[in-house]
Formats: sequence, structure tokens, C-alpha cells
Amino acid sequence: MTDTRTRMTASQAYAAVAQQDGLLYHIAHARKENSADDYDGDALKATSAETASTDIQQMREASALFRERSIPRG
Amino acid sequence: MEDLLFDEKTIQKRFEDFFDVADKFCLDYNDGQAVQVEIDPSLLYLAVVAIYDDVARYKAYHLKNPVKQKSNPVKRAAYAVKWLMHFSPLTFPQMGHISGQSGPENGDTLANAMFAIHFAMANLRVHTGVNFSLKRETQFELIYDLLYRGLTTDALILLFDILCDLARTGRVDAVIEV
Repeated sequence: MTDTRTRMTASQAYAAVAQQDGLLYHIAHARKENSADDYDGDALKATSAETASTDIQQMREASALFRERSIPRG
Repeated sequence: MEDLLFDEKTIQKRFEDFFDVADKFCLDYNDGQAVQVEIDPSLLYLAVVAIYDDVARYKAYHLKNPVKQKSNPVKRAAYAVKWLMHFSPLTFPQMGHISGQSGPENGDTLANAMFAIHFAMANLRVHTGVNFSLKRETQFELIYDLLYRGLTTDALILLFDILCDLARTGRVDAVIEV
């Protein structure tokens, strides 16, 4: 969340959507065992933090091509 | 199959990591912008659960021992693109729902496509150990396909595997023969 009035941490966001009496609670809370995948959350967050700004700049430049080309619309 | 689904603690950790990635993405996306993008935590939560349910299904179907064998980040990247485009957890609350004035390339669909591609690329960069980027034309074509065409997750897995092979080797002959 980027609005300073409503900005929350990741753990606050999880608590907000995963309360036991909440609508979303039962989606992920009836599991018995873990199914592993190759995951390094710290590396993922660090890599994302390093590259997000450049990715956004490059994708904005790429999406500018929408204005130069024919887009199929009804 | 139920025994293979990711457990609650894992989902919580993945959600919180995903939220941090999305939060940083929004900060960078909003830099210098008049209209600010925000995260809808409920939609992000639905996306995260759906991503890991799909990864678990993939493992159950394709792996001989899905409990012990690990799937790689390419699958996470592909299913993340699928569900981020489906649930669109990045929103522009200040804009409301304005329709008929512009194409999807001008609104929150584009922001979610850009976030989906960024999240996928971050996973592929960690997977390969190479900090690579797509060229402008390739980025445009991928964004175009996410907005206007139907890319299946199987097609995304194939595409991402090819990109990883190219990134690791730096050689086109890792993928094609001429």
C-alpha cells in the first residue's frame, strides 16, 4: 500500500486477509503438508528491489509502442 | 492431492514476501506519477494461494515424487503471471472505474501486466543467477500478448525456459539450429 493513510506492513496485510472469521481464511488453512519448491524469498526480494525501477522504466518505454502501432479493437 | 498443497505457514511467508515485492514495485511505479497505484491485499492473497495451488497440481501431475522433488522458479513465474493478470491486485483507487475512454494499455491492466512481468523476471534472474532483461520489442510483444491474446501457463513455462537457456549461455545455439 502506498497511501500513507492506509499503508501497512506485509504481516499486517496477511492478518487483515487471513483472520479466522474472515472470508478468505479457509482458502489456505486446511492444508496438511508442505509441497516444496525451489524458493529463496530473500534473494527474490533483493533481486526485485534492485531491478524494479529499471524494469518499470524499460516497460514504460516498451508500452509506448502501443501509441505507434495498430491495436485491434472492436 | 490435498496433502500436497502448500501449508498455511508457507502460504503466509510467500504472501508476505510477495507483498513486500509488490510494495516496492508500487513505490517505484508511483515515483513522479500523479495517480498512485496501490495493492489490494485480498486480491493479492487470492493470487498467491492460486499460484501455489497450481504449482502443487503441477508437481502432483508431472513429478514422480512430488513431496520430495522440488519445482523450479520457472513454474512459479508462469503461474504468477497467470494469476496476477486474473486477479489484478494492483489498483488505482483515485481513478475509479472509468470505461470507454482508453484501451487496457492505459490503465490498471497495464500496471498489473508490468508487475507480473517484473515478478516473473525476478524469479528467472534468481533461477539463472543472471541479471538479464528483455529487449524493448520483446517486452512490448509480451505485454501485448498479456493484454490482447491468450497465453497459457504451459506456453509461459516454455517461453521462460527458453529465456533462461539464453540467459545462462548467452548463445542463441542453445535454443535453435540454423
